[in-house]
Amino acid sequence: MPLSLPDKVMDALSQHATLHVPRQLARVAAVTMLGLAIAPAATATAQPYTNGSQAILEHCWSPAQLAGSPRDKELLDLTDTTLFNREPPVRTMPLMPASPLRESDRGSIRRVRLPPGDRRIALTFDLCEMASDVTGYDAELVNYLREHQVRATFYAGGKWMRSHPEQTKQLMADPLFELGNHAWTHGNLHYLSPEEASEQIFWTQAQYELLREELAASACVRRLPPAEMATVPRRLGSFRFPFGTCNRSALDQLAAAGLPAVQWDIVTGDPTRKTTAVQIAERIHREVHPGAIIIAHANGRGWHTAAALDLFIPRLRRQGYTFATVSELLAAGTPVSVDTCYWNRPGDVDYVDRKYGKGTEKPWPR
Amino acid sequence: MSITSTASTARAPRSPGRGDRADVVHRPCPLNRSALVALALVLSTPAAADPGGALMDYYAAVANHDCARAVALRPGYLADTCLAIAAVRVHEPIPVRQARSRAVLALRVEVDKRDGTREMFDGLVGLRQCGHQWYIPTWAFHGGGGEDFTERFLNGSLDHAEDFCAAARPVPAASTAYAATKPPPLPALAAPPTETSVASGSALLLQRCWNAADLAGTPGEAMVSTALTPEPPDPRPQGTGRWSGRWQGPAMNIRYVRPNGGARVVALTFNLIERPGEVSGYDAALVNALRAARAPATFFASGRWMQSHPERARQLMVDPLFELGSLGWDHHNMATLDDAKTLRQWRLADDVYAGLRSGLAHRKCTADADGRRAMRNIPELPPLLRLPYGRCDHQALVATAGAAVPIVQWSTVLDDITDEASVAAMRARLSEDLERLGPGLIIVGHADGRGPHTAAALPRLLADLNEAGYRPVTVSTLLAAGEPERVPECFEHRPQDNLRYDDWFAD
Repeated sequence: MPLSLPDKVMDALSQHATLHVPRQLARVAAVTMLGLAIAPAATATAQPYTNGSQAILEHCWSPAQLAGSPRDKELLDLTDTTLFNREPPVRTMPLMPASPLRESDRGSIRRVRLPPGDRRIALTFDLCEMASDVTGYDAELVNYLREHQVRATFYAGGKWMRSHPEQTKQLMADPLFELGNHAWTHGNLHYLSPEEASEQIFWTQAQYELLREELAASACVRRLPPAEMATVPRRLGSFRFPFGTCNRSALDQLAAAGLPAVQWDIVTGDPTRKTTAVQIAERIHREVHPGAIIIAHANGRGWHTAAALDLFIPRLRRQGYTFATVSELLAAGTPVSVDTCYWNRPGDVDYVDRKYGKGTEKPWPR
Repeated sequence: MSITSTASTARAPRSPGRGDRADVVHRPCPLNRSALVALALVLSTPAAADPGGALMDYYAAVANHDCARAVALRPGYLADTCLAIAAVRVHEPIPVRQARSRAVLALRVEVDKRDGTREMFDGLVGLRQCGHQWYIPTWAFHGGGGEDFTERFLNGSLDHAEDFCAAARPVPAASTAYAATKPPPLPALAAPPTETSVASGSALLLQRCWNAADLAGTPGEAMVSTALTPEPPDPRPQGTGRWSGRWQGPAMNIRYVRPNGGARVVALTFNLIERPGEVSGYDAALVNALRAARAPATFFASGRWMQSHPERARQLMVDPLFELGSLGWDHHNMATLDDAKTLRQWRLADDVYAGLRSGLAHRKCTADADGRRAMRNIPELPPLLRLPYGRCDHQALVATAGAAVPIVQWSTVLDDITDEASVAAMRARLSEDLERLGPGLIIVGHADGRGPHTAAALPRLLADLNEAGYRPVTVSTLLAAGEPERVPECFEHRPQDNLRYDDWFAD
């Protein structure tokens, strides 16, 4: 097979190769590069999204690796308190600067008011993890979203990112998805001191940067043009309060850190085992409206979540709804926010302080 | 917890004229049959109701030379094989997965044989339950990366016979009678064992942390290409680390090992080099061939390589078949570096290694008690060092010796990255050195994609070794098996043959 590589590439290769083993290296590299050059064309399904990089996704993981396995969803609940993982990340403060939020993005955002005719909604999935557990990754759910090109936002706990580095890197590189901050160990920010709240927020921002750096330094990325990595977001752009709880001080901390607090206005109820896929779909159909923010789980704590997707996504699409990331939704309209946090209605999370305290560790065994 | 039968009998004088094997078989049973049955009822062991207990029971029987019981617990096992065992050390088995009447456990066991040799198993074992009793099918031992094994064993697709339970015999009660009366092992055991397998890593973690698709790799990964090189970080402050002391002893590096008793072992080593201005590869075909052949090997990686191949580096750390040593940060010629720069090379590589290991320690696969325990068997820092280009001067050797870990070069260069490299040339080179030096060779090749024929040659090289009666072992195992030949100079084949690198790759 004739090699038709750009002259520059061949020059670079042979120049480099004279250092060591001229022809052999150039030949090996040229053949493998040819394979590389062919690869993207065969699998080009890329949407014109500006975030992420399809090339990184395809060169760093095989289709089988991206597909994952049903076992990824398994949960590990630790009962031995000596095994609880309270260790901070390698870096505890993010390096990326952030500008404070504009006035309209402060507060706890429930939904977004969009211009008439814009029928976008945001599908969001939480990836919660406490010090007392190691949760999972719902491969079936992510695979459905990829197969049907459904845009979604994942709110990842910082500790979840640390225990799921490959999946985190896949989600951050995938142009289809957006990642947000879901606190370090699912802390109850209504209860925590400002110092503790700041750890929950910034450790997670820093952990994201560490994994992005690991991705940028890896061989599969360094072989691609630098522009590919440039489109992978440099920081997490929004925050979701665990337990749906917050207070004024935490909201102010987030505003100063440049993180809008994005909650929800449609609750799937998927953490409850008895919630069926049909019930999830029905609830969404009943409550859906342009600018809606839907909350579900992708860490294995959601019941029937993946199965529900096929019950509501095709139907919503037929009704003219399209799926957007949270940041797209925020940019397209005016956030509708409140100055308190809740699940369905104000006051319904008052029990959380009593039941979970700091929230970073399971309250059992009692 | 471990069962240890270090054969207190081993040191006792050997009674002359006794057949070691026959006597146990022909020894009159110390208990009459009805007593045995009664004991079996009394002892109808709750331990055997769980697979880990059954596995420990089995090894207890082997350790006590209670071979009838061992054979009953492990259908198809031969009494002769059991009788040839002098002592057993078992680490408590770790449950991997269990489904109905089948279970898979991770097991690490060392067996001293009566002929003075030692064997080690670190892998997975499948057990089957018949009634209340767990049995160990003879064939269901599996080394290394066992996602596939676990799956197939549990769903029954590996079974040779459906009537396993029908054929399983009742397990006789445990007896320590033979342990006391067993004649001492052969005198060979009195001498130090000719080979000790020194294994790091964990079969449990390898199978928990990655699935087959993660381990498989792709041909594209072997590519070596030019690339922008990010600035290295500063080494982490390390006041009391392994590089803080000044080495006082002789500065030597190891090129070759003289195995005790002439044990026919050699070490295969592969370099994973990444220099500034390039991104190098991972020869998946080579590593897969080593795994398929169950051939131990030692890898030496540049810190830069570990940084650009984080998952691959972790897999090499964890796989009990392999070890991962350090080649410094970015393959600088240390003969041309001052002390501070030499130390910086080693410390940066140590930092990357430690960071990758620490990342692994935070995953789900390592988060429970078993995972934490298994992590302890992953070295915290590279356990071996190698000088790039085989070059050093006295100063670099002294600085490197400061870590007080073996500096391991090579006796045999496969020449797998030259223009003339071919399978035939590599085979010729290996057999030449086997002829010239015999056991204890340290062979160097490349696994970073620079060797176009290395993976293709590997099965042939392994077959050649096997034919000549040699076995590959890791460098640590080789070092433990004999007397390393330490030299004060660094070179490729003979002293001063690599000075040209000082012109090409000076700082």
